[in-house]
Amino acid sequence: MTESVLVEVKNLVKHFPITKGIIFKKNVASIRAVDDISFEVERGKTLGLVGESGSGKSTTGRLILRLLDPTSGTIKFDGSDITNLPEDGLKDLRRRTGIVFQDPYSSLDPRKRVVDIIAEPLVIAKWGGRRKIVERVYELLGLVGLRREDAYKYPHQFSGGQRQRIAVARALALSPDLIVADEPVSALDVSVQAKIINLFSTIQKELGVAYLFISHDLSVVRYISDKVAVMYLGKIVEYGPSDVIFEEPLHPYTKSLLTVVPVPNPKVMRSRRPTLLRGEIPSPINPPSGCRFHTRCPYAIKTCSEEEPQITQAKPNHYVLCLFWKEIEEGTLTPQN
Amino acid sequence: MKGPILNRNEVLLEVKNLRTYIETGAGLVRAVDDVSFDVCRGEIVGLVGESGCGKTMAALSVMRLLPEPYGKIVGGSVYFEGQDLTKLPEEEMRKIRGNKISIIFQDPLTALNPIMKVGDQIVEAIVSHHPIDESAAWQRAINLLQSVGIPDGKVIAEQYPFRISGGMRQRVMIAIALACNPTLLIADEPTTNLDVSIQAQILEVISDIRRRTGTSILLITHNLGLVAWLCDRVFVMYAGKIVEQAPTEELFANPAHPYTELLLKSIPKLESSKEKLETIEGEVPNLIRVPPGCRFHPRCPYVKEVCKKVEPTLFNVNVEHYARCLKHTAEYRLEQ
Repeated sequence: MTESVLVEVKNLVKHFPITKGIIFKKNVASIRAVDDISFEVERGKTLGLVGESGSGKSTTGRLILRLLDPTSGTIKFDGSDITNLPEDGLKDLRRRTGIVFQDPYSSLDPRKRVVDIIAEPLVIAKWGGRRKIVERVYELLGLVGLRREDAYKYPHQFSGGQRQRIAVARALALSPDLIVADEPVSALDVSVQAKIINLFSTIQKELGVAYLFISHDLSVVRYISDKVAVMYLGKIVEYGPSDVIFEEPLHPYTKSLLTVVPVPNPKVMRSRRPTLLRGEIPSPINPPSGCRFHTRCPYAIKTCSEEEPQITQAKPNHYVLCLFWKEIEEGTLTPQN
Repeated sequence: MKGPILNRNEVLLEVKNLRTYIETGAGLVRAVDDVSFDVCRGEIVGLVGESGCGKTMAALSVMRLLPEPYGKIVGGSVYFEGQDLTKLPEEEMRKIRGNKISIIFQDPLTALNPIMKVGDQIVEAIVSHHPIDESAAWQRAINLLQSVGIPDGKVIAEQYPFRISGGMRQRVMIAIALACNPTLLIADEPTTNLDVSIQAQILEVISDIRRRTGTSILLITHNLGLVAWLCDRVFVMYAGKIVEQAPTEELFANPAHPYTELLLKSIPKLESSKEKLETIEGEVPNLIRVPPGCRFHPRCPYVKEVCKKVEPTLFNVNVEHYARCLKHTAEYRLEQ
């Protein structure tokens, strides 16, 4: 592990059991939310985690913060293994990480003033005396573009974008090394969204905090990320530098998504030949055999339903989970009909 | 995905100077304030804007589905096939609603009846306008499901809404909307809750409807990407007013209103570099107390004194391209 790596995730698995019965609970099946994924988050950089609903991206975010306990695999934070740390050993991790949620209407306590919301992590961490903490809150408010007076208001007095700023200030309170941002701009209007994205960028430049940025919006992920991991049904199907993933995608799933994302440019939209994916996202309780994407993949052949692909380094720093990426790239395997 | 060349003479829906106000505890909200737009036969028209700009209220006014008595059309007219819908008695309106004009809502789970099989919900839509016998209606329901991309329509028709996925529910909503071959389909944020790959499927269904049946579509959305994908013409709304209207390509190539211009620059680009995103200063104004002069002036980077006093009208800036901005007047150019 090199110096620049902050979080190192190896073969991470999270299965949620599905139980039957009330008194005598029996595990009848499991939801394979995250199934053997590996990735790294570099210091001061952004890893974008993109995928559709049920792909396991939020679960991944929660696992690396240990808000969920992994089923297997390892998570290293700043060189130390945190995979199986007991709750009381997690204090250091909690101080060094923060989270921003999607919905700023439900993630802030409506009965607390902003100053108390932002101060809460500082108080818990015994960061300093009351005076010092209030000073820090003012500083944080300035950092996220709010005013001092805003400290004594309640969340309902703010708009969605401003609330998201408050949530960011709270996440930044203890100067964390990592912030997990789980769809932080999805609930916001376009013009507000731009402000919050800019806020995330400025803060990273100023404070050197790393982000795990979770989103379903490919344009936002491309904009903010240095590296990107594309998830599908609990697996990372493609992983690499942001520009490479978006300009030379190798996995059929990524390729297809990039042809169907609406972009505000009629010329681009009209010159496109959209590759529609068949059917729906299968259930993670009983994922398809072989390659999980084979049921929707335009290139799928018989082998894909039998053999499970392993993540392969296709090009320097560019990983792909597809048995036939090379054949597709060379044009020897074409979409089936 | 462009449709056939349109005949501008065949205006299907013409909304003229519509005013829809909503009574709230805090005051009178002028949700739709002197709004005019039109949809021609076979055309897909986009009505685009951010939350609270009045786009949904405009659509509900056309359908006469306002939350009465608080929401009311207080002025203007809605001509549909030559008839003013605002003047129709409720009984007559019922014959049009769901029959000639139908609507798809954003959230199909709340729009569908949870305790009724989806097949029955489609049948209900058919028989309430065309009294045909039950089994024929059921067969038509299955055909409709197949036409919106549900090959096993027979199976799905027997299901309850909670048993099927979000994408499937939206297809059911579309099937209900198409039950009586409407001439106008209003789609209010039809894909906002859906995943990208499912969204693409639904958009394909919608543009296929226009291709196959020539149904006109009024697409209400906040997503300029969808507009670029589907629409022939666009109306941009801001704070209860239409601020710009143009054919789609013209609007994206030469936005003439600062709001449209900034909105386009504030969206991260999928296909290119990482310049800093433009933002729009301040917040959307409260529609109870709108700013004097141009409603956008407190947030506009090009604001001059005249903008604070004079309320702009729609200025013609190009062929079929109008913008509600004083930049296009001599008075503005002469100032300073």
